[in-house]
Amino acid sequence: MNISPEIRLWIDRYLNGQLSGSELQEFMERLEKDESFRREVSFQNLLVEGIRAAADDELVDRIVADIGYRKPRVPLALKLIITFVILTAGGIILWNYTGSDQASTFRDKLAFTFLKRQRQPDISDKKSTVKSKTEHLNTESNSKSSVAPAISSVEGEPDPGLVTEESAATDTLTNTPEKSSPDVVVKKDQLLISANIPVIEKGAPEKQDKSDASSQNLSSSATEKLNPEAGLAEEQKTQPDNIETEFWVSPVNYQGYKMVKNKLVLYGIEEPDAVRLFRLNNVLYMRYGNDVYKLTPVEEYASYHKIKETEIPLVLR
Amino acid sequence: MENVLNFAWQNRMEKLSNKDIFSEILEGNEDILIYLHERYFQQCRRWLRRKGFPDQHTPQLFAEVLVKLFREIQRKKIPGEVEFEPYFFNLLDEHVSEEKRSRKEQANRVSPGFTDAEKNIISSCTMILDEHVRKLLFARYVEYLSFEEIAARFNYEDPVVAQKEVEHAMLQLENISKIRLEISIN
Repeated sequence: MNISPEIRLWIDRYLNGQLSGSELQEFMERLEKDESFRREVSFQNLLVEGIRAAADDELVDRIVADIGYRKPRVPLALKLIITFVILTAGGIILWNYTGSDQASTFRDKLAFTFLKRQRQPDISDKKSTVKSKTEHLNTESNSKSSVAPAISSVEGEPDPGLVTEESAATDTLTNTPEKSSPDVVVKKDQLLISANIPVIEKGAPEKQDKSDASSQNLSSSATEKLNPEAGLAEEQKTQPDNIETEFWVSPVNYQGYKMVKNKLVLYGIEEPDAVRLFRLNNVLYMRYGNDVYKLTPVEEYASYHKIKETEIPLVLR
Repeated sequence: MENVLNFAWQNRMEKLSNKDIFSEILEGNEDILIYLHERYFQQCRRWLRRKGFPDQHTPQLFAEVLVKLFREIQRKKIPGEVEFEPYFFNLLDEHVSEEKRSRKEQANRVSPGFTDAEKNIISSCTMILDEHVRKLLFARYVEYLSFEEIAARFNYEDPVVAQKEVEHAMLQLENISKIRLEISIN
């Protein structure tokens, strides 16, 4: 259908909403009656809609191009996961390298230490037992009477490497209060080495031994005859040849010793190899370098009693 | 040179008030859209993200709303006393709701009588016209300018010349579209 410019303008005004009154009524009547006119109006409407869509698309494309949005190569969720992993790894590294003693105690409770425990299973187990025992001792009392169990707890340690690493509270001299501030590092007594040192008998003739043996037999038979069921303690057997000796170092440079039964604890001896033990007339002597000390059995710590050069028995010189 | 012009334009835009924005839109200055997207895009992106739209859909959605706003202000001749920001965000909210509804209902939002394909063909036919012809058609059918206003904008002697030019442009588009749509001319 070829339409005149007047009809085209008429349709154009209708599509722009500029018709009104009788003009609009006339347009609507023709729209109803004339099929080709209706098709032409519909097509003109499609053209106008297309022009509007083209205009909008042009502007939208321009704005979108100006925004220049690019989809990120790494998704946000992956970025968050990577950040979390890095932070966690960094935290673990810092925790392991800058922890204090208190932190390490707490750290042992975490699962992260399983690798460390796999590497040294025996040592860590022993450490934990020693720790628990020493802590238990600290809580019991601060008196010197608690020293003996503390030592006995360490007695069973056959591994000197372990023992030298670990510290234990043995004396009130170095006992520290339990509630110490977290940033204070407390040094404790340290066991250097534990060894059985042979005791060299000096000036003990065989005759004397024989006479001692006979006198002991006589006394034992006499006690049995007097009261066999009394269960009186038998006289101590002969002095042992070896004495179990422990060498300790105190952070306050304490020097002294104590001797209970067959156990000797020495403080302040820097060279354990230079120590020799002698027994003369049932008295124990210790030679350390050129000095000779007299060791009497004491349950509490005592300082070394050095013997003057002039008083040293001839057999020990 | 283009960078210098852009810089100068942006400097001028920094000083725009609410009233200036409306007057620029009413004058048909499309560069105002660049200014508006720089001012509101990030805000809209966050807002749309909260509404559940992924970032890759935001530029298209934002641009559609901005153009819709631009056309609405032009068509309704909205004065500069209206606050631009609430107006824009209300329109964005409406558009988002409409988008969600249409997604659910799978409704065709094109006006009855035409299909999307036909509309897209006409749109592509419009885009291949000369820029001057295209702008003439946009001025008449998108900005709803009268022939007097078209004559003033395009420097024609009188509105009759403007009317003839628009008719000529429309006839040109009609012929191209009919060929593309395979509709007989006669």
